[in-house]
Amino acid sequence: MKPMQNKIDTIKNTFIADLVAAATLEALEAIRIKYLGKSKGETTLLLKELQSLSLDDKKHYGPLLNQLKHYQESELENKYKILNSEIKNETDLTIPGTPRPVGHLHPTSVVIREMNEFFRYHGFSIGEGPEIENADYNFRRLNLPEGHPATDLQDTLFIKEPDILLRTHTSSVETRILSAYHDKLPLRVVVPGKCYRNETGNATNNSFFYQYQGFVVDKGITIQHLKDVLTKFHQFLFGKDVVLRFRYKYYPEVSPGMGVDMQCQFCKGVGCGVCKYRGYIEVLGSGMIHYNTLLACGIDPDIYTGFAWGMGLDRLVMSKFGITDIRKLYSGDIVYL
Amino acid sequence: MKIPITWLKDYVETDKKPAEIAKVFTSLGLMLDKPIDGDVLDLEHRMDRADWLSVIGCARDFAAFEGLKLHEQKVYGKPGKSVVAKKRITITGKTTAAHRFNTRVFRGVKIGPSPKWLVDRLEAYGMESKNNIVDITNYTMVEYGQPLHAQDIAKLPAPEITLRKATSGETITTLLGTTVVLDRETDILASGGKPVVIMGIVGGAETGVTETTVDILLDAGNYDARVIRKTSRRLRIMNETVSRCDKFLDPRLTEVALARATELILEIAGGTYYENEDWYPHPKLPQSEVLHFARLAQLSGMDIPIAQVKRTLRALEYQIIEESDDALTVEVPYFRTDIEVEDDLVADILRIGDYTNIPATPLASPVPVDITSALYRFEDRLRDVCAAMGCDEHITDPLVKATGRVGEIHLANSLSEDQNALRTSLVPGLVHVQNTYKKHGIATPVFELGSVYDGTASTQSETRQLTVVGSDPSGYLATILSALGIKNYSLSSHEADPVLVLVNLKLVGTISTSSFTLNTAALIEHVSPYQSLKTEIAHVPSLDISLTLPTGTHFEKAAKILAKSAPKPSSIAVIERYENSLLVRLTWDKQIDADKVRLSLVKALEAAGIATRSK
Repeated sequence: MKPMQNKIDTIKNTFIADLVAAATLEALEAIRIKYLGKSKGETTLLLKELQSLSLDDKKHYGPLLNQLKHYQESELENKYKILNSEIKNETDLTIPGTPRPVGHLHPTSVVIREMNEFFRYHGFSIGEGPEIENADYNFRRLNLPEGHPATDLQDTLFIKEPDILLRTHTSSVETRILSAYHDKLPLRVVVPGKCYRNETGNATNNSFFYQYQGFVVDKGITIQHLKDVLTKFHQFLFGKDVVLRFRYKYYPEVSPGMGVDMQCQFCKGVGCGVCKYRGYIEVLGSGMIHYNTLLACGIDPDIYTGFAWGMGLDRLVMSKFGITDIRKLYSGDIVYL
Repeated sequence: MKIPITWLKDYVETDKKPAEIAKVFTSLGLMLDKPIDGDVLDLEHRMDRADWLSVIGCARDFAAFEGLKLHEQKVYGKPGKSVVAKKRITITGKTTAAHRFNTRVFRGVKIGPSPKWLVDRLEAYGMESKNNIVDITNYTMVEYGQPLHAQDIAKLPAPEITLRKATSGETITTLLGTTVVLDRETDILASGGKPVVIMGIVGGAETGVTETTVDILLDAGNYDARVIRKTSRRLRIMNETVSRCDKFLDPRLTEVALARATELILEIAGGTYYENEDWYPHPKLPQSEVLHFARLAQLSGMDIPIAQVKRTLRALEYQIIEESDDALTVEVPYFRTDIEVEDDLVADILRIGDYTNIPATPLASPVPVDITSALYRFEDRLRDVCAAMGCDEHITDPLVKATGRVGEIHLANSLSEDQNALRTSLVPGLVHVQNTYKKHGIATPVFELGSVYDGTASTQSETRQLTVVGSDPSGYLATILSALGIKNYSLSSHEADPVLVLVNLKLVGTISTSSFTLNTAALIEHVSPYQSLKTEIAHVPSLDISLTLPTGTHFEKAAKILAKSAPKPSSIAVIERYENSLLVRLTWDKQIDADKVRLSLVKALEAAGIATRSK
C-alpha cells in the first residue's frame, strides 16, 4: 500500500477513537486542533504534502483528502452539538419511560403454542380438520353406533339431522387423519381445535369450546407409552412435582380406556371446594385406540396399535390466566394489560 | 348410580370407610359424581356398563378388585304352580321394539308396609317406600338392574297383554298422574284394547297396585334400548326405569330378577305363585370371546401371570371354557353386554389389576414424518405479525344469531335463539370486542383468525380467514403484506362493496373503512417464507409524482395508469396524503430515463382527468 493511503487510514482510525473518547468541549477542541489545526493539524499537513506528489497521485488523493477533511469537520460538528446539549440539558434517565403499545395473543393461542412446543419436541405433527363434520367421522368410526347410550355423553348440534353436525370433539380429526394416512403409518399427531355441544352456556360450560387431542399409531405401542407421554406432558405444564392418578374409564373410541386426574393443587389431595372434595381434578380421557376404530379407518389393528387422548383446553387456559367465566374468554370481554 | 354402603355390604364384607370404598370404585371406572353424603356414594355412570346400574353389579367389581368373595342372594328356584288356561294372562307381542316379556302371576298377596330393612335400603338409595309389592319391584331393580312392573289383575281391562305401537290419539294416565297423548311411534302394553303401560318407560295409574290389590301380574321386559331412548326423550320422561331400559340389558336378566322378586314377594307379601307366559321369540345365545396372551402383552406391554388372568376373569364371572398355551376361550357373563372385542377383556384384567400398577415407558420408535400443514404454520406467523403491528388477538363465538343472509348455515336443534347459526364473517364479533375496548378507553385494533361458514352450495364449506378491525385498515393491510414480503398488491373497487384486495391479480381478501379480511389459504400462495433483506447500499431508481384526484375518482384508476408505465415499475407506494392530493413514489429495478417516464405518465394521468404536479 502506498504511504499516502496508509497515512489517510491511520488518521481515520485515530480520529474515530479520539472522537469517541472526547467527553468535554475542551477535549473536542483539542481534537480539532490535532487534526485540522491550521499549521500542525495532521490532516492539514497531509493536504500540504499533496503539493509534492505527482500529477496522477494528486488526482487520486486530492478528492480523498478533501473527503477526509469534510468528514472530520462534520463529525466534530455533530459531537459538538451532542456535548453542548448534554451540558445545557442533561438527560434524566431516572424518569421512567412510557410503554410502547404491543399486540397480544389470545390466552388460548398462548396455551396451544405452549403445548404444541412440547409435542413438537416429542416428534408430533399438528393436525387439523373440519368443524362441520358428518356422523361417520364424528361417531361411527369412533365405535359409536347410532342410538348407543354413550351418544348421551355428548349433546350434538346438528346442521342436518342425523348426518351433518358440528364436531363434538377433536376425535373426528383423529379418524380423518387415520383414514387418510392408513397406508402411511406411523403417526404422532396433536390436534388443537374448536368443538361444539348443544348446551346452554354458563360459567364453566359453553356451547363452543376448545379441545386438545393427541394420538400415536405405530407397531408396538402400549398403554405404558400413553402413561409416559401424559406424565411428561403434565410435568411440562405443571412442574415436576405434579401428582397424577391413572384409572380405568370408559370412552367408546378406546379400549382399554384410561382416565387421568391431577391431584388438586389447592388442597394437595385432601379435598376442597375446587376439586369438589374429590382431592383430584379430572384432566383428560385417553386409552388405546379401539380395535373397531382402527379397522374403520383402514388400519390392521393386529399389526398396528395406538393410543389417543383428548382434553378440554378452556379450563386450563382459565386457570393459567385467572379467568373464572368461560364466556368471558370467547365473548371479547377480556382486555389485555 | 347411588350405592348405599349398607346395601353394598349385603354382598361384600369390607371394613373400609366410604372414602376408601369410593377410591376403589374410582379405580374401577366409577368415579364419585358428587361429594360423599354420609353413607351413600353417588357414582358417575359412563353408559357402557348396564350392570353398573345395579348394586350387585358394582359389588361384583368391588369384590374382584379387593379379592373378596361376592355373597349370592337368595332366589326362588322352584317353578310356579301350574295354572288353568282360563286364568292365564295371555301375552301377544306385536312390536319389534320388545325382545322379551317375561311374566309371573301371584294370587292372594297381602299388600301392606314393607319391613324396615327394605324401607331403609330404598330410602338410602333415595326412593320412597310405597307398599311391599311396589317396594320389592324397586328393590330388585336397583339390586339387579332389571326394571320390574306389577299390575293389579283385577283392574286389567281383559286377561291379556298386547305389546304394540300405540294408535295416534290414544291416551294414558301415568302412575304420576299425568295424561300423555300417544302417537304411532310409541310402544305400549295394552289390555282389552286400552293402553295400560308405556313400554319400558312408565306404568299407567289404572292398573297400578294399591291396598286393595290381591292378584298381581309381575313382568320383566327387555326392549330395544334405542327405541326406549328415543321415545323417552320425545315424551320427556326420565326415571329409574328409563335410565336402565335405555341401556343394553340382556334378556336373560329378566329370569334372575323375577326369581329374586318371587323370593321376596312370597317371603314378605305371601300368596301363591303361578306360571304365566314368557314371550321370548328369539332367545339370545351365550357369547364367547378368545383372549390371546399375546394380545394382552401387545396392549399392556406387561407379562401378566396366567394364574392372575384366570383369577380376574373368574372373579368377574367369565367362564373359562377352553384353555391352550396361548389363549383362553371364555363365555362372557350375560350381564356384560358391553363386551365387544377381545381388548375389552384386556381392559378388565388391567382394571382389576389397578392402573396404578402399569409402568410408564417412553416412546422408543423413530419419529414419524411431519404432516403439519404449511397453512397452520402460516397462520401462526400471521398471529405474530398482527401482534407485532400492535393488534390484539381475540377468539369469538362462531355460533351467532341468524341474520337471514344468503348462504348462512342454520342449526337444526339449537337450544338458544342467540346461537342458532354459524357466522359468515369475523367482523361482527370483533366489532363487539372493539366496543368493549372503547368502554375501557382503549383504541387498539383487534384481530381474529378463524373459520367462516357457507351453505350456499349443496355441501357446507369452511373458509379460514384473518380479520383486523380498527382505524386505518389500509395502513395495517399495507404493513402486514409488506411483512409477508408481498410488494405488489392492488385494491379494486370493481363497483363492488367492499373493495377487493388483489395480489398478483388473484383475490386474497377485502377491505372496508374499518376492517380488512384476508383468506389465509389464498394469501399463502403469494407469501415469501423469509423477510426481504438488503445488504448493499444501492441507488434505487425512483420517481415521485404528486397528483390530485378529482372528486369521484378512485386512486385505483391512477394506480392502473401508473402500473402501465414503461418500463414497468417494481412498486407503487403512496408516501404522503393530504385530502385528495397524493404523493406517489414509483420505483424500478433498473435504470430509467426519468424525464421521459415522467412526461409520459403526466400525459396519461392528465388525459384521465387527474391533475399532476411535477416535483
